[in-house]
This record gives sequence, structure tokens and C-alpha cells, in this order.
Amino acid sequence: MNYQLDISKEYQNARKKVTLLSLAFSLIFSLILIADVLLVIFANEDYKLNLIIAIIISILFAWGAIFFFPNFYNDIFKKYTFYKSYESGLKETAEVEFDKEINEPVTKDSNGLYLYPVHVTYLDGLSRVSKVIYTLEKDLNFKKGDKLTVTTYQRVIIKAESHL
Amino acid sequence: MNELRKDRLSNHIRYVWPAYIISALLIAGGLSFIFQAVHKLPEYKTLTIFVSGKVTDGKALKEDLLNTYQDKELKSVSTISADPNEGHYNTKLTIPGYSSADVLIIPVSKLENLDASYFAIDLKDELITNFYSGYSFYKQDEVNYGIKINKETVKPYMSLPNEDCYMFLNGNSHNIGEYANKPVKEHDLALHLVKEWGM
Repeated sequence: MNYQLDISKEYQNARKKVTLLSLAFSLIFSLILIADVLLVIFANEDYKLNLIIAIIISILFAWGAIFFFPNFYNDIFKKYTFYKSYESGLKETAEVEFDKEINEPVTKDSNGLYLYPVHVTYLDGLSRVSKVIYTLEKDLNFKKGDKLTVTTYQRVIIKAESHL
Repeated sequence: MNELRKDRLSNHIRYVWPAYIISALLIAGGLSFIFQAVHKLPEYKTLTIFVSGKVTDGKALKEDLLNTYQDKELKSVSTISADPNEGHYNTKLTIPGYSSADVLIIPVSKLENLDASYFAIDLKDELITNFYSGYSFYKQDEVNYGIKINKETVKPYMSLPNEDCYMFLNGNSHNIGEYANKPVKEHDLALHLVKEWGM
């Protein structure tokens, strides 16, 4: 049983999402700005209503941005930069024994990527070292004791081949 | 929604809430400033009255004046009040009184130590003939500066000291028509107000 992350496809997907979200944000920002300018221009001396409308839409937009960027955009952007740096980054290939995987995600090194921890034992000659590496997808479908050759990038499994 | 995302969202609310408050305040303040700057009322549409005494019903005063001078495009009325017996009276009379009031109502006892020519226009014969014929005036060095106020007329709006009070037209006002430092004949709201309140 093998596992292979399609980096090029994932990179394209992430890039598409980042571009779309950036465009959507720019578009909404421009619309809000235009609306505010129009509300200012077309207000008369009794401008209370225009002012209240301008304040409400601007605050809603600002709050949306404050909520959206750290909570959603950041995740997608981190994935995008992870895939983008993959080509030039250092990869590591090693023989490991699969111990267990955890199906609750964590964020590794606080870098914003949602990852699933995988407990493995590195087999390097006579020494055996237990380590936690990560996968971007749930359920790799390996069993405890499976011998694997894994290729990792920033301790994230890109490719895993079973020796069976 | 998984636990991690729930944790992150609750952390976000816990630590980032000041950003929501600050952004709302900045936006509200900024937009108010912009609206105010762009749509500032022209000075000839606002009337500011300095009252030596107490304004008892500012709301009624504002409403009545806005109704009376609707055809003259009056949009805003504001008052500055100062008790002549309090220590800060002279300071208030100078700032903001002299600097921003169109009409200043001052009791005669306070006028003894003031140079009326410093803050009021002299009421030339032409102005008296056109507006204030038969009224009582406050004179200084044989020049007419103030018009005596009819306390009964302003009684619903303000309480004035128990002595004669006079109204003065500030030369810096934009509401005294051709008699202003920057004269515009049509903008004469203050002249009409003093005519209505004077005696």
C-alpha cells in the first residue's frame, strides 16, 4: 500500500484559493470604499442617515476582515507557501515502522498548517528512534508494525511506500 | 468544526477583541470627521448666541428660531451661556464669546469695564434706520453699540440678570449682512433676531 501526495495538484488548488480569496477581498473592499465615497458625496447638510449607513457597512467589513484573515485566509495561505517552497526545500527519505496515527489535527510549529500527527519509529541500522511526523490527510490506512519508506518535507509526509 | 478550530476561534475572540472595538471607534470617528469636513454648515446658516445668564430651554429656543428663520435657511442654533457672577465669566466672554458668537447678550454692569468697540460693530445711522428705529441703545463715547433686550420676549428661553441687558452684534459674524467684516448683504439673520428681541 502506498501513499503519495500530489504536490503539483495541491499547489494549484491552494494557489487558486489564495487568488480567489484575495480577489474577493479586494473587490469587497473596493465596493465598500466606493459606497462610502458615494454616501459622503451625495449626503446633504442633514447627513446623519448617510453617516450611520457608512459607519455600519465599514465596521461590518472591518470586523469581517479581522475575523477572516487570521482564522481562514491564514490557513490557506500557509498551505500555499508550504507547497510553493516544496520544490526548492530539503526532503528527507527514511525507513520507518508505522506505530499509530492520530485523527485529530494539530498545528505544527505554530505555522498554521492543519496536520495529523503520525507516530513512527525511525530504523537507522541498529538504532530505533521514535518520532512524530505529520500528514496532511486523515487515515493513511497503514497498520501498526508496517515497514515504510517515507519521504518528508518539513516533517510532513509527501510519499510513503509500504515494503509489503 | 473540529476542536482545534474551536480553540483557535475562542482564542481569537479572547485575544483579538480589542481590535474589534478599536477598529469600530476609528471608523466611526474617521467617517464622522470626513462627513463633518465635507458637509460643514456654512456660517451664514448657523446662529450662535452668547447669553450672560442661564439658558433655561435651549431646545425651544432652537426650534422656535429654526421655524421663524426657515426661509432664511437657518439650520443650526447654538448658545454659549455664562453666569456673570462666576469667576470664569470674562474668560467665557472672550473665548468662545467674542470669537464665535453672532450676538452677545451682556448686562449693563459688566459693560462698564469693557471696550464695546473691541467686540461689537457700531450701529451706524443707516442700520438703525433700517432695523432699529425707536429702540434703546447702549452708548460708549457717543457711539451706539448695543440694543436693549426685551426680557419678556426671551423669558421662555433664558433667565437674565435683574438689570438692563444689551445685545451686541459681533463684527466677525457672517450673519450681519453688509455690516460684517466680510459683508454679504443677504446673510442678515442676526440683524433680524436682534430686531425681534430688542426694544
